[in-house]
Amino acid sequence: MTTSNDRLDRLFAMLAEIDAEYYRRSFFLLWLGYVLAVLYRAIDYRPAARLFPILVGILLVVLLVGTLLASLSGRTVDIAGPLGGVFEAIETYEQESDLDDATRYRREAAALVWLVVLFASIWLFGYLLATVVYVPAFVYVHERNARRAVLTGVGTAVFLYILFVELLSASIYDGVLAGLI
Amino acid sequence: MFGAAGAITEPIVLQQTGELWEAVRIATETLLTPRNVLFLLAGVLLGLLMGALPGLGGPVALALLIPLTYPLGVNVSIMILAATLGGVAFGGSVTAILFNTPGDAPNAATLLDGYPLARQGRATEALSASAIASASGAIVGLLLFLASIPIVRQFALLFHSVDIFWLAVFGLVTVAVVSRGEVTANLVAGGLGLLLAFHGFNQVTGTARFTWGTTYLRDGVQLIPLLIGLFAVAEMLRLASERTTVSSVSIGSGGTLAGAKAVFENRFVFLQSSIIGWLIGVVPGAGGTVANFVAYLQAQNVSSDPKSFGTGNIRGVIASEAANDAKDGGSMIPTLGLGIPGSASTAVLLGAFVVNGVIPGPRLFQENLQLVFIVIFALLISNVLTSVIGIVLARQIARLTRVSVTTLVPIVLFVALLGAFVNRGNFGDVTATVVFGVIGFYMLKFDVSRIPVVIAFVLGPIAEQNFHRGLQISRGEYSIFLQRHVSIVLIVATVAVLLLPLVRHARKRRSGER
Repeated sequence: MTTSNDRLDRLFAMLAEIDAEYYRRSFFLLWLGYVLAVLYRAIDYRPAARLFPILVGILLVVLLVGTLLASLSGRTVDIAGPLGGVFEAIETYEQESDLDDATRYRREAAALVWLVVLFASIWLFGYLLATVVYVPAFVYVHERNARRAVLTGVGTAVFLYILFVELLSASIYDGVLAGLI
Repeated sequence: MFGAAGAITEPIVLQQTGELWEAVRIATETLLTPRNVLFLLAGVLLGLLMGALPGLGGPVALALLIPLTYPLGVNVSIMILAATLGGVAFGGSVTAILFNTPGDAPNAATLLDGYPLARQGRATEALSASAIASASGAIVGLLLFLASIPIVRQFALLFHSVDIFWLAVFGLVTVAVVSRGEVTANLVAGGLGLLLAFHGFNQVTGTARFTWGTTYLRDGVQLIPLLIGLFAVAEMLRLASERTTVSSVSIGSGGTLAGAKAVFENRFVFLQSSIIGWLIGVVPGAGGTVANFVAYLQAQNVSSDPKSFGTGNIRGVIASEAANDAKDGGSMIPTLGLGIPGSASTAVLLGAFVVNGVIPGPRLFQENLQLVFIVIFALLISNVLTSVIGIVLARQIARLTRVSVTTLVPIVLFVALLGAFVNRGNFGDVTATVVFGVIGFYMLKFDVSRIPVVIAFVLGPIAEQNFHRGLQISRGEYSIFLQRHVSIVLIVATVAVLLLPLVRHARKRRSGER
């Protein structure tokens, strides 16, 4: 009997078999779609308003199409900058671990799901309530340490309250549900 | 002094100026206010911590701080950010030396000899040498920058609207070309930043563009969600995916004086490295990593015992740290003077200027000179403080870096998303932050630099405004863009920067064929 975990493993194994270049192409294809939408919209604007968007949009279309075509033909446009690209390594997603692709994709998907859950929690319950629920849940799921999970959640909520509400006198979002109650 | 009804009112204290001594006075007063001293100290501690925690670093620290410091006014806000920047540099050295893991990439060369020293039980000596070289290098770099201010101010007077347009174009192209990764991908990233900047109400043309029927986008894409999303949220997603851990080595005791003495005994290496760091910092986009390694390799070249480098030679630590901090002074010339950042951290710092309503570039030295001095003084003080605190608290900082990633990630995410909200109290900013976070994560994954997005977002409106201003001045004559000498120089420089990668690529292919 296959469990949902097995199905997920099979899904990510399937995704890992796809050449990573396809994902990169899809990413640039999405950008191309956005640029074309901007160009289409810009046509209706007055000349002064549409000049720069159209200039930049056309250049971008050329660059994106060129990059995609080069990728499709199997050639890499490997023109590095004259200094070899020297902004800090924070810019490079270098995998230092021995993770296989399937595991990495699964972790990436999990990270994205956690982010979406975080956003939804804040939207529904507001920041403070979301903190005492989300943070312990996140820590417990990853570390299986209930004490640390609770302490981190409460500590974070207290820290955020003191910093933002008391020190900065900022009003923080209460959530959609607070408005309904 | 006297209000409309003749009542005596408080004199208005000048907080913004282009006069040299007035700027020094404002900067000094800003830094010496008791409340601001505490803020400066908090910035230093935060920078030290963020620099020490791998995966965080300067850009994340600054991106998180921008919304928090915005209510304090532009002078105090920039002071805190500059102090944080000063703290980050040394914070990264602590983990480089103790854990063989640079907290921030500009500390990469430090670990080559720092970690072997730590394994030999000389961690405190290495940390001490790093601290002294770091603080002293920063002082040298900032003094050189101070000396160059009159030249930069004169240079700034040469710039007309048309020249500022070409300067913005040059800045955009330079950042795309020197960023890590493929030039084409980075140019695409820059283009994306430009398109994002075109959203919302435009003052020059009087139209609201690309709102896509939403009220949120009438004000345009906001810089704070963009910065926090691309840097803080994207990095947290990456950390959560990787869940890397670091190993540790014991710090031991003793060696503080030995480390300090080593810097004095190797003063030639220190001075040479500081000057190399400063000069490299002046080059737009060069960044700390280049300064670090060039100074290290040069120190090795002139050494009587080059083979000892990489096995625990204290000169290696001194050279890389001195250069790393001296480059900050140099990088302030293109960052503040031209509006072209020298590193990822200064790119975010530029964003902070814009958020606070100040446009970096030639006009800054004429209209907001006090900010230049605030940055200099804050960096000077923070580098000294960081080194002292760093040596005293190295053991505690090292312990903090053992905090697991899965505890750190949710905390930073909450701070990030809350910071995005409090700026305008608009939940749309939180949504935008999450969207940019996901985009930033995939940019990291597919090796597309995020820096051009931010720079283009800042420089794009500057380019457009000055373009239209130039056309207004010339009454619609496009030839004005090719008439001025400064413009011609910038056009030639832009073309040269664009052609350089192609020339290098062609040379590489030819030598490969041979």
